[in-house]
Amino acid sequence: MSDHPRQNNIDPTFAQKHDFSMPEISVTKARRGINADIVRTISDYKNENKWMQGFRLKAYDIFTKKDLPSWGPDLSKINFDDIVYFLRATDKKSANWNDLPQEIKETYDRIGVPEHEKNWLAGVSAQYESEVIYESIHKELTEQGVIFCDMDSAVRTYPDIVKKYFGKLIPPTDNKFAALNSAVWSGGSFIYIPKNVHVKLPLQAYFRINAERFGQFERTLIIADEGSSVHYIEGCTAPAYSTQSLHAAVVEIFALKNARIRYTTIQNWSKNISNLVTKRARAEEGATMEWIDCNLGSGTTMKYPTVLLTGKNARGSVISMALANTEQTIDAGAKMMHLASHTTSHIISKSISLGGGISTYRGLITVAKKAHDVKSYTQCDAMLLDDLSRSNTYPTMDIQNNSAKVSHEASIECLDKEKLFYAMSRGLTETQARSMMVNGFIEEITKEIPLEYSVELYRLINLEMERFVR
Amino acid sequence: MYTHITENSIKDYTITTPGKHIFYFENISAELSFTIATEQADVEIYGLYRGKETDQFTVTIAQIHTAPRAKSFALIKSVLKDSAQLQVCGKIHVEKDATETTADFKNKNILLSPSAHMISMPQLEIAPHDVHCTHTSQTTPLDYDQLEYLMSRGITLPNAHDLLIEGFLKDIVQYKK
Repeated sequence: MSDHPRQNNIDPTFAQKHDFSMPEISVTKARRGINADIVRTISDYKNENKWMQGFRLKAYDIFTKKDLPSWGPDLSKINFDDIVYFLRATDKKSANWNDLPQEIKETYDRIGVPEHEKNWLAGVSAQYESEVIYESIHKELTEQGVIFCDMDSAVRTYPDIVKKYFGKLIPPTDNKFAALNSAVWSGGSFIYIPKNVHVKLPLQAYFRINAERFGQFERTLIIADEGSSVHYIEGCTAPAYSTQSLHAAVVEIFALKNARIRYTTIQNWSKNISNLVTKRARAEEGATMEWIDCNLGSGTTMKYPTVLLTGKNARGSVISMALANTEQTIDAGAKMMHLASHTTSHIISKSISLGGGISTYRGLITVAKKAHDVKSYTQCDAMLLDDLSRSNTYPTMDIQNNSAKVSHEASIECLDKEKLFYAMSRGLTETQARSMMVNGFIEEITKEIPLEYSVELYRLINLEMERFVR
Repeated sequence: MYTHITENSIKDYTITTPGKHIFYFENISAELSFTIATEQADVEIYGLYRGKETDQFTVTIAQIHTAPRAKSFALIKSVLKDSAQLQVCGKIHVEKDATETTADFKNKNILLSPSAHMISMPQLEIAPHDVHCTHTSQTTPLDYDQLEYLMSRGITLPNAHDLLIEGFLKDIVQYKK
């Protein structure tokens, strides 16, 4: 335990307020594979209402009938019968620090991950000791009427609001992994911002970190009521080690009239993981939705943040970057559906492939017939650092209104030899020159993410360049 | 070398001699492939679509680079009115050995009526790192400011309309023989 002064003044009802105790149910040790009984067991264990249990079971049925996507990376190696679908924090096996890949340990040191974070990121400890910090932030939010809790608690404590929005943007029928998540989801965040409340401090999943929050099948639901604003951040630049091989999260976001939401993800899962995420937001009249998406890790990533622009003057943007290294395939992109008039969208995608990595941008812009005076701009830039790697770009623009102004441009380049030569002539080493150019390439993204993350990201890029040159 | 591609022409071309090769087509639905298999080849592909009434066109173009130090450039322009529909898919595929490739694909479209429908799908698949490959897609209405300017100079709306469209298509029409 830390020596933080506030530790001595902790409210004696702290444990009662912030711990929830699960009813004692005899749960056999976590079994592999999935069937309706396991889905029912998960729901019973969480003491859920009939509605949620029914939702899960219906979703499981849909999951069994749906095929894997016929496009994108090869997912045939995922063995659904070999996965453990629910683990309590206390069931989870801690990794042994000594078993951690050397590369991950070195990365923690080089990018400056604080000592107490390392253990949690490495899966060595199940709990991140941040309860004291959380207490003061939580008090301030509660006074504003903000709800910020984990999804399991939200289902129990706020069933009406959850039922109104849960599964409405991403129904289980959407795709196979949304169906799977809908059946076995656990953890994730629930946020409700009342009308005209502006949350100044970015909300981070870190503040309520426990292993549940960062589960395999997180379900996040954010609702920003009229005129409100919030910035939510998940993930971290440092590599997160997990023994579980499949992460299939679902994120649903509702930006009501004139609300503004920014959702930042910085994900660096270890390479044994397939990270398959469905993320979708709905922006109503005058609302703004911004996705900031940094994909650094996992062996296979499929992620296409989407904004449905359903109200007039709504705005959507996706700013994303991908760094695909050896044995990594990052298939990411963005989708913007213009369903109302005077809506605008903006997509910037930057990807870097090295050491045999494959990065792919997959995008979709649609303009409905009734949507007048729409403006949309997409810019995709890719950098290939060697001949082992690949880069692909597959955008689609489907325009059914003649007043729309839609443009898309993409380019693929390598590091400019002349610029490299110039930098080295000024005294930089080859590694330093490469790092500077790659960091400059992604500057449009790094300037949008909070400082502590952009510093870590800068160091991570430098480390990746060093490894690349070795 | 110049080739005017029609509905009845062959659809797969392999370029094996260096120098400039120009291809032109107009208002056809086809799957066309251009394999650039020699160094110093400079391939230019021009496609023009004027859609009206219930015209429907689907065109797929593949610029496939298998040899190093070659260039390819594709420009597809369309003007769609009434209920015309056009789907353009343009793929640039550069294989591992095709180093120092320069390739570009541009698709520019003007929609003139509420029922016109455009689907644009430019694609890139790149293996070697020392290449310069780009693609661009733009779909817009006629520029209202330009229309207004022409009318302020005494040109009637229908004539101004035609002038702007003629100007938009000029850099492709010049390749029609």
